[in-house]
Amino acid sequence: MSASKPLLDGTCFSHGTMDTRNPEKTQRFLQRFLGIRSVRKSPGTQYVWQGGRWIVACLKVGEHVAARQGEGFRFALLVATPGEVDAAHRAAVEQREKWEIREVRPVAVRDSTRFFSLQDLDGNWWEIYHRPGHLYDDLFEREAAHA
Amino acid sequence: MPGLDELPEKGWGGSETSVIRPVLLSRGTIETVDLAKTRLMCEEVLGFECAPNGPGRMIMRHRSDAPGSTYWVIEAVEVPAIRTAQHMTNHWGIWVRGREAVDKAYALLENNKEKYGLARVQNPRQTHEGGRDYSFYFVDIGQVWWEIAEHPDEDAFMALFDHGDWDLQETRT
Repeated sequence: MSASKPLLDGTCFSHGTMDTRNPEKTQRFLQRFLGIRSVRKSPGTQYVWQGGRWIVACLKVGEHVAARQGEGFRFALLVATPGEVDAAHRAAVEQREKWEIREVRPVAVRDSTRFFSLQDLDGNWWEIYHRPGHLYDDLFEREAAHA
Repeated sequence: MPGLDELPEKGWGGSETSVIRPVLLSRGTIETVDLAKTRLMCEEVLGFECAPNGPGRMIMRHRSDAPGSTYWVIEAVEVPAIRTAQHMTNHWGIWVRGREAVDKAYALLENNKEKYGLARVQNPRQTHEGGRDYSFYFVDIGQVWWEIAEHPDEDAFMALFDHGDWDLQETRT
């Protein structure tokens, strides 16, 4: 981990961005299935957040714009227990048609993280996961110890 | 003024009966074809702290997020080729202190495109609805779009959406 001061002063990591084609329908999915917060602040933009001081700006694109976020560019939601990952996966499979979910990947485990991914009605990819401990503190502490 | 620090405590914008009950929107994931160059740019310029979380992978936490409290991270994964090049409307946003800092960031990145492996650096301009912000976009070695924008007044920013959906104007709780 670099201990030196970055070249840009006073930076703040503030937001990510994703697509929507039907803001009202997308908002219902975000709020009622994924369980995250969303406010449509204008006809073309809604702000999405959950638990932190950062947002994802969800921007309206044309109905025929192809999905372009890609599976390698996911947003990830932390749930409280491994069992909640499994329950979320079952719900995604069972309610796939209702929410127009395009893809549901199987539950997997990497290191201590239990997770699965799904592609939503707009083509955006989400990961639902549980990782024990407080966020990624252990990784940053280990890196700092080796710096 | 508390600005975005208030956001986790606000009750509006959600559903009481969602299928999934996440604790935190905690991570984004990006791809890169050169993890070392992505790390160099993110640490040296943008102010992220980076830590490996496996071969060809790293987690990045921004210095503006205090360790121990809630923070969000970007996970970068090295791949032989980018599967889906990103678009401007799939960008990550960094705020800096004022218009001069935006210009400074632009000059720094434009003059070091090769060092950081940048594919493209756009000129700063007035952006967003009504041209209320001053920012520029650049594309990194993994076809990831980034925006560097002047840090807005956070209370004014919150006011953009703290009265609920624009067409319903629900009362916030």
